[in-house]
Amino acid sequence: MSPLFVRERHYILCLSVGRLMWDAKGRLDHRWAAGSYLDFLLASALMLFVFIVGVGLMFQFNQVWYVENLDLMEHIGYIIAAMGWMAAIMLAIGFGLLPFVHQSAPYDKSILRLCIALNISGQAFLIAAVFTFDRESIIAFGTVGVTLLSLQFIVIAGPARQLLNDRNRDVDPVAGFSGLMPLAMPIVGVLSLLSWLAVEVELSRLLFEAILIDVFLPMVCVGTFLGHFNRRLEWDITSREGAHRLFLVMLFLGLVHVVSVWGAHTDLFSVPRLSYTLPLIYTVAFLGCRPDRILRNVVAKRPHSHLILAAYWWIPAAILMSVIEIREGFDPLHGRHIMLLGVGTMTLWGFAHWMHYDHCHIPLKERSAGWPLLIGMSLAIVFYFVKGMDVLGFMDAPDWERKAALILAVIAMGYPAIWWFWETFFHRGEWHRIPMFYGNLHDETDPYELGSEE
Amino acid sequence: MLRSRAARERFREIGLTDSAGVYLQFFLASAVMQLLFWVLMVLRWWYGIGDGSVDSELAEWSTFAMTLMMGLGWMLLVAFGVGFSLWPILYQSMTFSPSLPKAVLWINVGGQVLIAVAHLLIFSHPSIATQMLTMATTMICFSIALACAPAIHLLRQGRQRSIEHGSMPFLPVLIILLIAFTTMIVWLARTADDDVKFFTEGLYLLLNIDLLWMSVGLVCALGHFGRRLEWPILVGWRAKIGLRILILLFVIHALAMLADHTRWNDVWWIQLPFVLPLLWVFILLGPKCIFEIVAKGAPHSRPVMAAVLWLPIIAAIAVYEALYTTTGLSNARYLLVFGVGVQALFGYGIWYHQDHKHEPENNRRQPMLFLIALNASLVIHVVLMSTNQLEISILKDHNLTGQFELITLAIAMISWLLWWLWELLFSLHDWHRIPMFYGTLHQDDDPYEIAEGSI
Repeated sequence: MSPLFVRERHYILCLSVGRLMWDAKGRLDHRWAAGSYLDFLLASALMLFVFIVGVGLMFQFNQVWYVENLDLMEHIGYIIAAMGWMAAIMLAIGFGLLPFVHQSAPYDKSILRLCIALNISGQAFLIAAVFTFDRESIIAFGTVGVTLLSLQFIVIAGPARQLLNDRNRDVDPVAGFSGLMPLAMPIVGVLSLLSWLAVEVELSRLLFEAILIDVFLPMVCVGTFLGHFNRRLEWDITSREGAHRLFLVMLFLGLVHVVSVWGAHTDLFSVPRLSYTLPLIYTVAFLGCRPDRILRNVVAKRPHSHLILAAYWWIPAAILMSVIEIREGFDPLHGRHIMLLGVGTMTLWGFAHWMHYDHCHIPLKERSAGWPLLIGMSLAIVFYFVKGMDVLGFMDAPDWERKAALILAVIAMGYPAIWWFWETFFHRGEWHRIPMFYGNLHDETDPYELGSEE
Repeated sequence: MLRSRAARERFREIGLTDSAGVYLQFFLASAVMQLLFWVLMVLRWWYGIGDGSVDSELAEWSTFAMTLMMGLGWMLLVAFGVGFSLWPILYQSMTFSPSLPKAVLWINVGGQVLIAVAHLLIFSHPSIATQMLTMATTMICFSIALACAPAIHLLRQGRQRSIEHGSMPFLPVLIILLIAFTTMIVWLARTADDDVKFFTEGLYLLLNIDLLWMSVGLVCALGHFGRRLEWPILVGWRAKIGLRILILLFVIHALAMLADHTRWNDVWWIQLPFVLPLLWVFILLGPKCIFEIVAKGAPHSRPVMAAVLWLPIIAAIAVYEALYTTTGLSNARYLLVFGVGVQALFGYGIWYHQDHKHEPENNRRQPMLFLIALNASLVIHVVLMSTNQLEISILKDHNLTGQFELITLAIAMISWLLWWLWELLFSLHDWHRIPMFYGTLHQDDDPYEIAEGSI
């Protein structure tokens, strides 16, 4: 059995007798949950694999039915991705790293296991629902799946509130984004339940998609960029105040975007320019992370996660595609997909890669880049972009391109699953409970103030 | 004195009493949700749901949700409260973290609240109400499946060997796990054709009522008389093969039910096997021994005693229903849930709370209002059933009698709520983290083997 696997089991065993949860003075030790990301990533990899196989089989068996019910299928796809396997990575990051960042872990292992169980069972129900090929049954099974996925967000409300109270507001270079996931997840959970109650109403679906995919996900991505470049690599791409301003601007634009979706759909008011709030959110996300500073550090050959960097540089493609689609009077479907599956997947898996390597204490320069995911997903984005242009009538793309984009996306998204199974079961390296860098994040560089005396 | 201090230290060391007071939250939630349940029942009656004011299918689903709110909602919350508080102490193993009981409680209560909200929307937005009922069913089923995890962990650790009656207390837990899956299936198959619905209905009755409440009654009575009061009720050959025979009888009943509900076999005795596990539960509890000790005036919980007494009565009613009526075992099942299940569970819960208050057994206050009102209601139910079936009119105005039955049942249930509110808000007793009796349950009587050495 893999040393990593044994170590992780040992860690769970220690938890079960409560040895790691309290320090020598009887205080709750915030480091106890450090290895919890292993279970979340395993769940994410497993369900990502099931998702890919499910999508493939559905296309194979009943493509006509899929196209006829595209509205519902797409909505379910968004929920499985954003609240399913992507959310598992978000929770992995939240449970695995935030205790180190804020020196607080106000939850216990039951919450961790509960979230994993809810995540997996919720996705399983939604995927099973799709294969009934009957709209009524899909909604019935889907209700079970959405309830379970929503509960995974709602049950963390208590610990999240405690974590927000305990957080180090003055030192965290990720500013408001750091509190975004714990704060927004319970809200998203409740909203998803409310939205699903009226899933047959188009407005309900559109509003929830606007909140989940257009606002929440880009903010998570920006939080991840800042977490990697600003906190982990200490590149100082933006100040804490700058990050906080970026958070507020994105939040404001997000609200405007949701209101514009509501206004446009109900015909209460329709300002065509308000449709551009989506590319505007993407643009602010891109510029707010200071591309010039990121580029300067990359040119200086400072080590970084290639996946996160590639994801970041694909944001302009999403912006461009959305602008063109809106100009031509279409919904920015392709732009949104590039953001969700291209940028979102690469960002979150990139962060997960890096976090795991931190636990393995692998030197920064020796870390693998995740090339299969990077190349596969990048090519898929290129083909998908071309296909989008074809739909808009700007190009005449051959039919094989759509299939190529799909196959490449499947291969690319299958890679994290395979990589993670490999890491869990066959990894031979050392695994440390305290990750590199985060273990001494709060250590004073000059505890005895020798520098000031001089 | 020294012994109890040692017990306290040992308990603190392992953290076994971390969840000791959690039952208070569960009991209070159960009482409040029960009040909500009765308010909903009144609303249903007021608006005529079930009498044609809403679509018959929707009315059927609403009835299903109400049974769910009762059986797997506020009634089971009492069982979970006792379980989460008692398991660590009883089995000397902490197999769950403090947030698990909270999650179970809140998810279950959330499901019950959703059922209530769905009933408010049932006229104006029937489709949203149905969606809400699906969400509520999911939440309730998930919460009860979650609650089984620590018990299964204890079984895997082999902890059942450490106490009397072995694996028997785990019986309801394993049944509950099956119930969680079955209930979900029953709900999702509600729009299927009649055959499938008839089959799933059979499964639901079998697991959610017959097996669950028989086993809950057994475990509570056994736990109270056998373990807590240390009466020798389950000894000898019954202790050795009792559980195996019970499982065998459960299987026979299950097969008969399934044969009936798949329309595979429709012989005259097909519903009779219901009586077999019921009578065996009664035999397992050693009625002769219980009556002898009670006759001597030994202190005990009267609701638990009343629950034991209902077992043979229900068996007799079930035989009558199975042989002479075409309405199934509806009356026997109703009596099983309230007469045996609820009564034993609530009696056990109250006794356990009094253990935490370290009240001397002889001076314990019995919940007389609950006991009298509930049993009066059940007796009226039996009388009504008999007069209807035998077509005799001892009580001429059946409507009035029926209302009287409901009123007494409501008094019983409200007395439970008031009892808990009083205990939680106005009780001036001391409350101890380690309950009476359980603190020294696993302590060796002769730790230094002095008695052996002296021989």
